[in-house]
Amino acid sequence: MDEEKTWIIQAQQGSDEAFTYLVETYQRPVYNLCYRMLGVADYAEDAAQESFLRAYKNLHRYDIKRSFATWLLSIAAHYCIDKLRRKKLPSFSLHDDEGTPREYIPDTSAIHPEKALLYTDQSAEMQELLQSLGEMDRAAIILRYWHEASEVEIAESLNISVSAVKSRLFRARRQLGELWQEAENEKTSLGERMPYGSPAF
Amino acid sequence: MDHQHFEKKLLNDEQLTPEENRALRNHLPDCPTCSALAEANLALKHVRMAAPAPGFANRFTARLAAQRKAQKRRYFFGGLILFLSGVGTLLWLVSPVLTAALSSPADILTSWVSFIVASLSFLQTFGEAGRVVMRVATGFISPTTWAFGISFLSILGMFILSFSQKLLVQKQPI
Repeated sequence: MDEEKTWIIQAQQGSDEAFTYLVETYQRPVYNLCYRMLGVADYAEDAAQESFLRAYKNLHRYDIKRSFATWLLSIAAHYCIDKLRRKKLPSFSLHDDEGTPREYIPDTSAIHPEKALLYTDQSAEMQELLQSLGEMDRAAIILRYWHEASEVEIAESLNISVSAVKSRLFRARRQLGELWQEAENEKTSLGERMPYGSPAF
Repeated sequence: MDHQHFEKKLLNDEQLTPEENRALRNHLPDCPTCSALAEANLALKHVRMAAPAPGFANRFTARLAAQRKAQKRRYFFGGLILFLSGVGTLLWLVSPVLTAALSSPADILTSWVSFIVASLSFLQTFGEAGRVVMRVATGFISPTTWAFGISFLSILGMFILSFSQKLLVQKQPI
């Protein structure tokens, strides 16, 4: 039996210390899923905390033979989908009022500064495009690309069939491609209109 | 290999052979649709994990403690309300008796004594009748039927016990 399973069993038996270890281990994937789904850091923090609370309450229902990560991400995904369906959340911004990025990403620019800049730009752009997808399509894309989940794992997490996952991913990629193209066209037309990048010139 | 072939491959995010890869590179400059799909796929593959602000686990522990405290408070006030309403109902029910007892205590005492005596004599009669029935019943109910009856009742008891235990396990408090 691996170390994680031991912690899970201990947590199931009521050990808070064991559950805190699980929170520390999975805080990043759960937070990331919530952040990509909801788009706002504050909502993501709240959703991630709530997902862990739900996992804690339902830990006795968890089947030790299944993957804990899939089970936990499934709780987080369903919580975010419910949240998005129940009430319209305010439009998100990648920056707060003072212009500070809301997304907390460990700084790796010291290693590959040019790549880090490119990926941060693409990450921000992709985050904006993600918000245009439907909740289930968005969840499928996030699980596929951020969490490298297989189609079977996505199906398990979202309680849908594998063929439904395939068609959702297909549709989501098509939509993201169209949006990407629109964004590129906008950038090009903006560049043609303002060759020096500022209307003042 | 035409546009549709590449579009399908990109939409399904399928692995390309080296030959398909070369053909796609030639196709991309002339096809904005496939180009956008390829770029979006590439961007998706380079996305990064967002991390919570430091201290997430500590905030979770504090939240869990707050939830437990709130639940304890809910249980306490729920119990208090239940207790007070129970006491109130009891007082409302016994108030006529109390008023009568305070106005004429001797009458109430006499009626209670006679009630107790009547109850005791009823129980005695009931016991006598039961003994007679048992004496008659043992005559015509076979030992096998007795054995089956007792076994059935024990199995039923065990079933009820295990079912109630399962219910208790499912209703774990946070």
